Amino acid sequence: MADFDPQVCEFEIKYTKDQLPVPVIHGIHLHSIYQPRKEAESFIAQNQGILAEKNIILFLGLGLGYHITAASAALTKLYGEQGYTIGVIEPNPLTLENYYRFCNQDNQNLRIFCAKDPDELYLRSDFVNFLALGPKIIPHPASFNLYQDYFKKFMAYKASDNLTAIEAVIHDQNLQAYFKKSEAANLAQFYQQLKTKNLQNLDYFVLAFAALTSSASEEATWATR
Amino acid sequence: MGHSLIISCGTPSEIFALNALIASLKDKNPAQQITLLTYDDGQTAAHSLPGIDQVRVIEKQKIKNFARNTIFSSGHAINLFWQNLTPVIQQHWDEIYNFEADIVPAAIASMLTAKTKYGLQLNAEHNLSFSSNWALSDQFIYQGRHLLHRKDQIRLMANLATYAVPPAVFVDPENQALAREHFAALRHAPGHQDRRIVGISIHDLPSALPDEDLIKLLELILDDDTLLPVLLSSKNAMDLARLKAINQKFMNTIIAIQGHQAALAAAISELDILITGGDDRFFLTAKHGRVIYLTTQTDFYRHGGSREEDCIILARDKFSIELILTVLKHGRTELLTLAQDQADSHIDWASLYFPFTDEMGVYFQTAGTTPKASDFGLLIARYILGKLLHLPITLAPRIFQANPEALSAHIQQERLHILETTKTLLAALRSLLRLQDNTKMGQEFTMQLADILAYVDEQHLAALCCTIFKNQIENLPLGGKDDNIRQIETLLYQLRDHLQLALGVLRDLDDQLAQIKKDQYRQKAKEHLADVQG
Repeated sequence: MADFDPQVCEFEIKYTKDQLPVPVIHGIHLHSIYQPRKEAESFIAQNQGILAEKNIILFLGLGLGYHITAASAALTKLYGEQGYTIGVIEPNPLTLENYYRFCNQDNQNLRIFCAKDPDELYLRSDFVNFLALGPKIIPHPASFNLYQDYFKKFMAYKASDNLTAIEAVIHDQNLQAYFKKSEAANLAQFYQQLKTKNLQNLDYFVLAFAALTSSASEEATWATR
Repeated sequence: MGHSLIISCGTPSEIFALNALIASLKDKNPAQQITLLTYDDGQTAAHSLPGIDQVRVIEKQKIKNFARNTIFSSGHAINLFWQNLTPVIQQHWDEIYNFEADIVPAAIASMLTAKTKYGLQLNAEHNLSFSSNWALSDQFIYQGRHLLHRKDQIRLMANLATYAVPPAVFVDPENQALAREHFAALRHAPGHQDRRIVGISIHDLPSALPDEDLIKLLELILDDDTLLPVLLSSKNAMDLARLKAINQKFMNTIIAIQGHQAALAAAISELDILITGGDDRFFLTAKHGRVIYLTTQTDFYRHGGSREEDCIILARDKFSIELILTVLKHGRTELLTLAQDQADSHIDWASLYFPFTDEMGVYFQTAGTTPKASDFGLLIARYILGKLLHLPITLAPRIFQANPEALSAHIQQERLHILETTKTLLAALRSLLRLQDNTKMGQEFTMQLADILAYVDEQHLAALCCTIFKNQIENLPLGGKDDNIRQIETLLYQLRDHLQLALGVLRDLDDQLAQIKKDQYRQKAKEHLADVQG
């Protein structure tokens, strides 16, 4: 797996004959050194079926965004200028920095997520909000090969139901403190404990949350307790 | 000034049925701030209710998704729920009305602080119970999760409205018998002469509802002087067609239909007053217990202004075009007076936008929604109208920042329309030249002219210019043939100038837009990099 540390990462920019920039990381070219645009267009053409299926796409790997530009064009044709959203996960901040350096065109439909560890991504609200839209995933081959471990870890992620892990995601300090007081191992246990105590303050909030998110049969249990 | 919270997580129709309560609360205390807490599927309905100062939304579907999908930590769901509720929790309420018979709203109502709470609550011992002040609450006995059947919920709502506010009835089309029962109860109740139905909601006339029942229902409403009928139908021209087929009588009374404007347009002329929302929004409401008629601009002017005190003008995309006609017919001063006098009330009660008026009573600021291309269309149309008529109208570029993409798309479309109209105009000019040489070419010219006039019915900037042209032609003084041809030629050139002027405005807007986009991108890139590097 490539290193993301700017001090260690072997990162350079090479140029095609037409003076188009191509990032090279640890000797690996992220795009064709001859015709990066054409390569990107043909890559997107290969994935046309996926684009036609859904207007929300998540790319694994940004590079300098040639494939993103090609995908935007294809998606615009399919869904109109504002009818789609593209998300991109880019592990390497240096790549992102160079993307902004060379790409001067804003795309309002594009969200770029950059984190050194995929677990970090899942802690971020903006990212989970995007994932909640249920995007179709397309790996950018060169980036994917370069950061295979990263992306595999990303794909295999499963959130912990441990209460401590949940607390870590909670933003509000009072709410966090409220959960911390409990000795329950997970939310299910927490709910059980709640059922046996007299309700006060935040208990009502958690109870409302439990009922809101429970399945129909569980809902009945809440109500008929 | 008091703060009231209404919790209603029901269907849109149930939310609309809060109308009477809201009107009454406002009536009792006009300065009262009313907030509505609802689930996301009721959001649109909630935003459309006049008298609501704020809508707070619980993003139920998203919260559920976060909680149930194993790749998301439940913490995200908790965050979102908390984020949704924080503004409601932080507020100290004077009154809370919980309209739901469900554990979630009951738990929420119980955790909030308020001087008075109405409706279902959850006590510390986990027992659900209605507050003792709840209307006729002894009729309802808690029997488990499904505390109240749908009809009981509706009855409850009607009862509450009767108890707490001026009498109102909520009619559920799925239960017509109950509706009739309600009507009958209202009509025969002691002191019924003081009772008025201020809102009757019939959504999506169910096909299962037999026509004869529908007729009885409508007659019951319409023939009773003590009832002020307002029929709301959510689904389009099909309902209208059905009502029409049932009985022409109803067509001459007050029928409210929303959506599918185009299909409705055909029916407009057959209605005395058309009450219409549009864009899937409900505008119609009772304001302080009175019925407000929402009419089209055309009907409004056709009837010589407001026949009814509470008339609202529906002013959407055609507004500007019709304003021009008014200007040309009545003069500019009257237009400005009309705009100042009428625009505010329209904006206040009939749209989702804050009334932020310019020199003509045009709104600029959006409330809680991103402006759409059609909104920009209205603003640009007014601006160009100002230019054409030398009125002091300015554009507020601030609003463009809210949705540059929509504006960009709109400009692009408008440009295409102008180019197309210009093409037709040039063809007309060519045939006019030929007509001057050879009088047999009259037919060709007439056809070209008809093509130009056909644009009048469309809703774009070029149509606006063509409307002026049409009006000028209609007002041409009688003269000799040559005279007329010369005058038409002058008007055609004037039309060309107007189209050019519109194009010029679009060009300016393009420049402004490019600058806005550039600034936004630079800012975004800077922030993102700082974020990642930080």
